[in-house]
Amino acid sequence: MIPEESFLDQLKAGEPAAYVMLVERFEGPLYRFFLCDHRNHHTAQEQTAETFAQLVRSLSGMRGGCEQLRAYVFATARHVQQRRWRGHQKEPSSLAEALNVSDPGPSPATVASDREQLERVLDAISHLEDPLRNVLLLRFVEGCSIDEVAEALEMPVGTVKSHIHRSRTRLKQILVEKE
Amino acid sequence: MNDPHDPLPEPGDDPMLEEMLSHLKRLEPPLETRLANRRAIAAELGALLAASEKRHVPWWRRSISIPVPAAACLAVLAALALTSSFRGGHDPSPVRMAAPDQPAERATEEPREKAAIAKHAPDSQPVLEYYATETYLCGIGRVNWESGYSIKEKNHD
Repeated sequence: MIPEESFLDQLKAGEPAAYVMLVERFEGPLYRFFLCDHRNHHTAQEQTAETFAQLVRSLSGMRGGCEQLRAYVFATARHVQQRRWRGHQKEPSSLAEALNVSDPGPSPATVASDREQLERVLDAISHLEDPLRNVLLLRFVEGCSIDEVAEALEMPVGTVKSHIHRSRTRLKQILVEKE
Repeated sequence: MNDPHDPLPEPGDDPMLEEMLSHLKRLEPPLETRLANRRAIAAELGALLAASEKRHVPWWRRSISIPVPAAACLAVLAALALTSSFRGGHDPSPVRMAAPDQPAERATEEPREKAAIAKHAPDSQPVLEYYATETYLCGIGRVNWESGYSIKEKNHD
């Protein structure tokens, strides 16, 4: 286990053990970030791997301390996301594939119920506009601070606060409409 | 517009939303995705390592890229220069110096006794002639030097 204070230094030095930790810490949040964007498992998988590759290339030049790492990771993810927007249209959903290959764990009934709920919430989130969706994900799903959200999405703190209000209201509205 | 005096919503302060989002929070990437992430990291780290090793190669072990025509021209020029330098600058004709009746500059260098013999030799008799031969190799300098006297009969008209 690498101490938190030397974690960033080891990442910058290209230590493989530090990158294993980075992957373990961020592969879930990054996968969810991309999956909520387009609900396509294959694209989310590619984008997650691409984000990690990009991080290996760029982390040595990162400014700031370890407390800014999460914002840096999501800022990199957002750049990967924007590259896809420029290059492709949204593909049809292949979310079911991702849910099938995920470790089922609990009983089939629970899994089916969870899957239904997950489908519902992903559908609602995917109907949110881009800045609102990313703000909601980073703030309410990944638990980022307002400063981290602002840094990751490269927007003023005031705008983030406004988007937090709007995204929550809008998501509830969509969920009610879908029922 | 939002009222600026509204408290900012915090994660967890809306149970309904929290319950909805909990399904998403529990979503983990499948094994295939995890493997792809590790492969991507390994490939990038490998590329970085290779690049840093290349940077540490001493300058005399580094390779440079030049266009093939330029390389071919340089090779031909180098071969030509090498060939001409080994051919050498040998002067085939011996340097004749210090004829008895036309003393050259080098004649002053020859031994006094022998020069005197040549000087006083009568026209009707064989002539003692001094010669010197020098061989030069381009780029190296003089590689051979030979000198001596030869006896020659003078023509009588």
